[in-house]
Amino acid sequence: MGEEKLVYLDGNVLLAASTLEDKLHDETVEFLQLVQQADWKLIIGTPILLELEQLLYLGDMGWFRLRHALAALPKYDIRIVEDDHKAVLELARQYLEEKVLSQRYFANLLVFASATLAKADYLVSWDSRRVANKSVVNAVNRVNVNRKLPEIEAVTPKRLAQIIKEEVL
Amino acid sequence: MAKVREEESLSFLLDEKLKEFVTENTLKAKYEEYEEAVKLAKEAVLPLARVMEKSVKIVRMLLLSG
Repeated sequence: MGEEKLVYLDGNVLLAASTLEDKLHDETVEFLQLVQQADWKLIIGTPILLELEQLLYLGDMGWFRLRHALAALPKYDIRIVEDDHKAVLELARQYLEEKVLSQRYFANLLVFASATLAKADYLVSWDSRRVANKSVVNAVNRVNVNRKLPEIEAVTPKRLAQIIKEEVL
Repeated sequence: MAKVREEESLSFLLDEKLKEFVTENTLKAKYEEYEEAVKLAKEAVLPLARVMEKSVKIVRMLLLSG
């Protein structure tokens, strides 16, 4: 077994894992089980809590989704990391200034900042346009290198499952 | 496994909506406002997370005890 890695989950991964009827549910669960088999650590940060909180304002459906998303935390041993909020906000603003993504996607930049500052090895998201995207990740890492922060890799659960199968297990 | 496009996932679409709300609430926020938003989210979500953790443990114990 290789070195232990830290895997930060985007909100869409947590929601897909906790929604049986979701089209990405089975692939997401398979991915989470592979991470557990590899003995890697799963985390989420404050920006994901901000997303989950919004479910409270979406009526019964939102409440239902929130309960299931939170039940997935102990089920897959997903830890909530304590962010330095000021540092997360500042770093997300730096990404915005460097035009990593437009301001419409600021929440994604908060997720990148939180994952970088948590020293995650991977940020995992089903969003292959604005998160698990090579050019976005390169732009994030240019900022990270300039600020002497660790570089991060953002991939889909499908891709990380493949990496674990080929290189770890 | 058949390839599923992310747009076919309701969780993906829901998360995009949640991110829109978070963006609206935080884009122009001063640090103090952001910290307050985080504090409120924690107060709302974390107690529920602890309850869900306990109930998962109870279900596990019941399953193990047959």
